[in-house]
Amino acid sequence: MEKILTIAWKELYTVSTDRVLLLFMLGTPLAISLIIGLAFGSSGGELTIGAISVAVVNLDQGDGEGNLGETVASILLSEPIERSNEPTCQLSSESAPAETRPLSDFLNAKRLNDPELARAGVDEGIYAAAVIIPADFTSKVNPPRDPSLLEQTQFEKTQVEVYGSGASTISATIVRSITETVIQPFVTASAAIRGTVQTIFANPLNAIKFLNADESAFAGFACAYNPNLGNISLGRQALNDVQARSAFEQILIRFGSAQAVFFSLFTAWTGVQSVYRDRDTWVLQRLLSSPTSRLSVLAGKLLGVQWIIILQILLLLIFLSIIASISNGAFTFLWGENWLALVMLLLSVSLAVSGVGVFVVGLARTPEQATLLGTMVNMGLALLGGAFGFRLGEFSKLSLIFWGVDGFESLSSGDAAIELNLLVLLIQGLILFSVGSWLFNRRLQV
Amino acid sequence: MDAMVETKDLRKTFMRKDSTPIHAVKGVSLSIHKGEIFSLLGPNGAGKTTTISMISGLIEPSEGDAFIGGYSIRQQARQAKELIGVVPQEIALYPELTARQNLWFFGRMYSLRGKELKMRMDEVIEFMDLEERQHDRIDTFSGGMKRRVNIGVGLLNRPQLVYMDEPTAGVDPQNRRRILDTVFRLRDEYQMTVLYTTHLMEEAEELSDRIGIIDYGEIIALGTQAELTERIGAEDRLVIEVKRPSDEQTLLDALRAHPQASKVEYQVDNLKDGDRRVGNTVTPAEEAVLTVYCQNGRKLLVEVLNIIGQQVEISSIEVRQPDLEAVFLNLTGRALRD
Repeated sequence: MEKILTIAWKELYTVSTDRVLLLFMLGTPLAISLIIGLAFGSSGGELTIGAISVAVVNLDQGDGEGNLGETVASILLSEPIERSNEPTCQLSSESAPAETRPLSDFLNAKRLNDPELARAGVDEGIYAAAVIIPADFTSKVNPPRDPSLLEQTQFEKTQVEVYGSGASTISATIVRSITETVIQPFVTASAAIRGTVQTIFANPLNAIKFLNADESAFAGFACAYNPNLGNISLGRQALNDVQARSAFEQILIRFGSAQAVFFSLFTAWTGVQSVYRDRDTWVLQRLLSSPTSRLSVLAGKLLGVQWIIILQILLLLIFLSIIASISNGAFTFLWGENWLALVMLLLSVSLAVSGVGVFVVGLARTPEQATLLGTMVNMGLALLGGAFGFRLGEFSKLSLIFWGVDGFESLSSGDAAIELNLLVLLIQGLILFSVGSWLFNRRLQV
Repeated sequence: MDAMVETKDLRKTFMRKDSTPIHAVKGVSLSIHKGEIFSLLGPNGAGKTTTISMISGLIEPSEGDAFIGGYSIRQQARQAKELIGVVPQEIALYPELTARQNLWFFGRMYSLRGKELKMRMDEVIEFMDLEERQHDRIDTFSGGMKRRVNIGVGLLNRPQLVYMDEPTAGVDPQNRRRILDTVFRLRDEYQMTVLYTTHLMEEAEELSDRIGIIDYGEIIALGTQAELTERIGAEDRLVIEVKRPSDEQTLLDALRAHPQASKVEYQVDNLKDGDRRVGNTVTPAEEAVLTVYCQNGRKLLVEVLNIIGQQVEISSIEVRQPDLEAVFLNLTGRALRD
């Protein structure tokens, strides 16, 4: 066992002293995650994507005098906002800064009436996301006209649902970000009007004038709800009532963890493949000429690769949290609070990843074949598993990246029910590792 | 004399893809005594490395067995391997580790640990004169330094048998001399048995107590250098470079008449300044080489000088005793380097 540990230590030490390799293993996936996160998860990003198909369902019943849900829906649908007794608040680009783009550039929104139909459309891949405005949206956002109720009514939170598609992660995240942006002015305006009315009623003279005022005097308030008074930008909005995580964090979690697993796949087969290098330099022969069994040499090598993969993924998860913390200006751990489940998932993913590596190298007849095959397999798993930003529906479940990322997402959202993920990853890892080791042992001739 | 290594009908057959066999080693039986330097000499592809790989337990013999210090390499591989130190021809080290880290790593493979491992490492570092560079990475070393570390790793376990596979390949003369001296020290100071493979006959001649010549997977001759040359009945050669005489035939007749000269050769055309043709003019060579074959070259030298000294001017003279090249040539009909 000591010899196995020594060989494994040597593998780990060698990697830790190779700066170029470290840059590839850690720097590259982090850089990609950061770039994608900044592009699609923060206000600084310029989008160059096509319109995202979205279903918009407005269930808002209004409060008898207005329907703010309809205003939100109109904005998302890029329709003019018109009300019979209120001024028309056009979504004109004149009021917006020159660099902003119309929302229709981003969203291809369609109005639906049935929320279940909208969700089913998302599940079937017709829509990237569905925005469902609840029936009590206006009543909760709008301050009551009756001044006597102002003191009694609590400032209740709204619950707009953004139902995203797992196959279109980034698109769904963008839709949620836009929805957050659209809703934010309503919350802000509601609070501002409430404050204004309270101030007016603090002075009895003003209260008399307010109550005797013509109805049209209040019409201007309607446009206070128009988000065009601010900018519609794809920025991170801290609306805890809509989502627990910001768009940027969501991207770091899903895309970052996918990159971590994807890049560890390269580590796996290149690590195993280094046995061939040892053979070419006669280090392997020297080891086998010592009183060290072939099994010990191979076990040490594979254990070393396993350690490296665990550390690589662990460090990437930590670094992603650091990035999120820097972005938020406060410590933000992205991966939930269930440490045991996190460790289990980390180990399962690592086993599955190294299993793929051993299998690929075992399957190939030459190191060159292993390189080609390894690259193809990794790309295939990445494509299926969503490491390139989209998933291929049910086919995604063929990729260990899907199961890993899905597990990390679950833990991140506080859901510890990842038994299926662990089971799939462990079984896959054990099978591939066993078969791969057997094949590899057969292929390796000194 | 006790045998450190004994092989019995050692054979190795590889199979081609079309299932036709390649008999790399065809029944090698030899015995290497304790404390001797034994060289296995043969051209590339003769089966040297395959034989040694079987002896060191790296590859399994197809047939036969090898015994190291009495342990069967097939049945008691671990015990046998503990007695062996291997110095491959390649620099079998981790370039990204320091010299000391390499020693530590391979020492652990021989189950060395703690103070004992440290002591062995210090011993080897001192023996191979690596003190100053022991903490430097291997990939910063010169070729000669790498060779020394490569040898040092093979000595860590204080082996009774050190197998060295062409350790001077690609080494400059200074480091080569150092390595050859190290081989002598291993035998003389540490009583180690050294199994040395080379295709350089000069090295084998200088180092070896005994020599085995291998060709096409078989040992074709085995013994001391004297035994081998005696076995083929090779003669000494007197090689004399002279200014080309005006009466060549008279000179050759005089030499051939001597009773101890079994054969006389005269060459002008192979010389660097042999007959040169410039346009239609041929310039005759100015020098020639006389080779006189005899049983005792030193004894005949004075008499030959008396004969030719009166007739020609001598540029150089050399007595060449029969070498392994001649033995190999005699046994196989081709030169060792062919």
